[in-house]
Amino acid sequence: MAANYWLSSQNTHWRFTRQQLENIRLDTESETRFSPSELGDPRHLRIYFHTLIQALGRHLSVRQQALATSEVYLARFYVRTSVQETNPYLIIATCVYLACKMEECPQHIRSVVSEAKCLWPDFITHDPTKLAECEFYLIEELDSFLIVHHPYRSLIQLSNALSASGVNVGLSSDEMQTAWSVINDSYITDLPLLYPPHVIALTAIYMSVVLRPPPVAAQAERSKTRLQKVMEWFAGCGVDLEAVVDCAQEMISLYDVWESYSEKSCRELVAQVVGGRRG
Amino acid sequence: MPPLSTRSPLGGYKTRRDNARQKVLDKYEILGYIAAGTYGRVYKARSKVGKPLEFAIKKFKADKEGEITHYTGISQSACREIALCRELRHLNVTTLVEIILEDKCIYMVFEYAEHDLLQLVHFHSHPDRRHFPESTVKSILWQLLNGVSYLHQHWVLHRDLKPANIMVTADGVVKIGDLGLARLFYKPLQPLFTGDKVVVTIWYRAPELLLGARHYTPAVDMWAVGCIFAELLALRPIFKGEEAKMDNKKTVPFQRNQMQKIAEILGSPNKEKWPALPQHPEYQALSTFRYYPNMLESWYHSVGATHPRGFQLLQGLLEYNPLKRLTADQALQHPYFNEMPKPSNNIFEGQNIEYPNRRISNEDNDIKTASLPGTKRSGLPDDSLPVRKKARND
Repeated sequence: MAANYWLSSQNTHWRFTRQQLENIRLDTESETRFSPSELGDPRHLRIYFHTLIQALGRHLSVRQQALATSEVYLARFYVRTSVQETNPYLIIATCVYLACKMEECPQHIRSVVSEAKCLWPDFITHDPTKLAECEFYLIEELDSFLIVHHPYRSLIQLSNALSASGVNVGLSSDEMQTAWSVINDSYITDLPLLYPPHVIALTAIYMSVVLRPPPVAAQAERSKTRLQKVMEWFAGCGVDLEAVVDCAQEMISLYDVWESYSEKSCRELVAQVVGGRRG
Repeated sequence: MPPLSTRSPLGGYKTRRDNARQKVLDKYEILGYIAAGTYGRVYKARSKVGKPLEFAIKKFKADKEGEITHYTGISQSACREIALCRELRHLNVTTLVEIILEDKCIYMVFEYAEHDLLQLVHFHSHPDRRHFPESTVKSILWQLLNGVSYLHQHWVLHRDLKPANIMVTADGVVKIGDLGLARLFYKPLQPLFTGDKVVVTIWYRAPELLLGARHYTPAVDMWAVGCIFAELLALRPIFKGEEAKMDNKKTVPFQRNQMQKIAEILGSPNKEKWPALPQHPEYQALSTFRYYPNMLESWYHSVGATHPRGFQLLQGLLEYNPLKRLTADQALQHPYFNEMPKPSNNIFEGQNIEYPNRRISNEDNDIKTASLPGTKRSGLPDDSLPVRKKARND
């Protein structure tokens, strides 16, 4: 439920195994015009959508948590629906609109529409009823499960626990920042559909501490002992380390794919796939 | 596949979804209309598919401009209710069965409850009838606390507890309903005060809110539980104040009369017992009140209640200081519930009173077309306007 992730719809209804996701997606894309291979690496499109959400969020000054909820809505929406069936710009604007309401920082529908129109004039019309209509389909597609649990809260709790576990073990503000960014980026991947928030938070800590090279040689020894302590703490808190490693790999491969990302080609690809679909 | 230019926006997707959707009237037969509110209407229905069970369908109406209905964005309170009801599951909280989004309307299908506390209180308040049996009062209160405890454990504040919102099934199970004003209180992005300034029907509104407190806490719900307990004993609201209306400037007025009704029974609040009292925005207004002694015990006896433990519990719930007010869990542990008669899972157990069934009207059976003053014109979320909810309790 709202306070307990294990009883929440996020765990009981909107969590998949990799295999399940793959099967559903095969089905989703089975009758589309363009085959998945024609669309390139799906993660490029995910990065593109991520930047669109962030851009709209900036224009509307939306809090990060509401944007994170929008990203989860978007990811869930496109599990059983192909991008090719829809106008992703409208879906994105709708996700942001609904997420802002759910996260108690509501935006007027007209502001969302006019900012979206300003950003993507070829794909959004002035008419707010289009977005309002889309909201119905979005809620239906989400099966009316609207409360989302995020790793940010777990990150803060875990970081406090880590600090309390020994001297010099807590996260530095740089590391905290890195961990926070890793969580932001995790929304581009399937991780929110695959793992509980605390596993993603642990991955973010793991990546910020373990995978960061020690800054200078002189500190190498100290950072080695610290690393050891952090790893002991990881082992001690009974986490599924395999899951953390799997998440970390997913993130590393995302950063790899990001190297070859081009916003321009994604924009063109979407224009081609979606056509002149407005509203 | 037609050329792209002729395809309508979201066209294929919408058609696919529209065709897959089961219509509300395919699944349910509407038996009559139960109630109306600012959001829309509630209907009694029977399922056509599977077992012929009864349901209450809450219909959120779409906006109408002339004859044409437009999509305008779902109100924030409807969003909250959908989101919370979809996650909550507890014996003493109304169960949401499903949500159907169809033709610009939202239908929330709930399990049906034959009674509500307001109706039961009205039944007993008839001059020829007697009070609720003690076992019934205790069972209602215990089940209500059990549901409130569940909500609070899950960081949900109900914020509008009152007899009309507490349902009772034919089997005597209490179900907390109407979560339209409920909010999550874990680390809200905005203070819970922002936006909806006036919450909770005035008779059940906690003194800290009347005095302008800016933070909602679970204690607000506990005050309302105390008021409901008192109403079960007295068969009328314990603090039946007159609501001061909002003036033209839309400033929220001090509810002087309501505060006075409370002081008349509980005595004047003071900073010795409630240290945070002087920090409340409306504290100055209290200085114009005359001194009132605490009369709760004589009030308790005057309504015919005798149980000393019951009085203790009532006092713990109607405690001025929200920090000292009993929590739901503390109240559930109260010795009152350990004494005979023990609270039951069926509030009607051991009594043979024939309560009338919920009245339904057949004037408006057409769930699809019924029009009424419903949701607001603009897509503005509810909270940006003060809630002007009428006390539907009388």
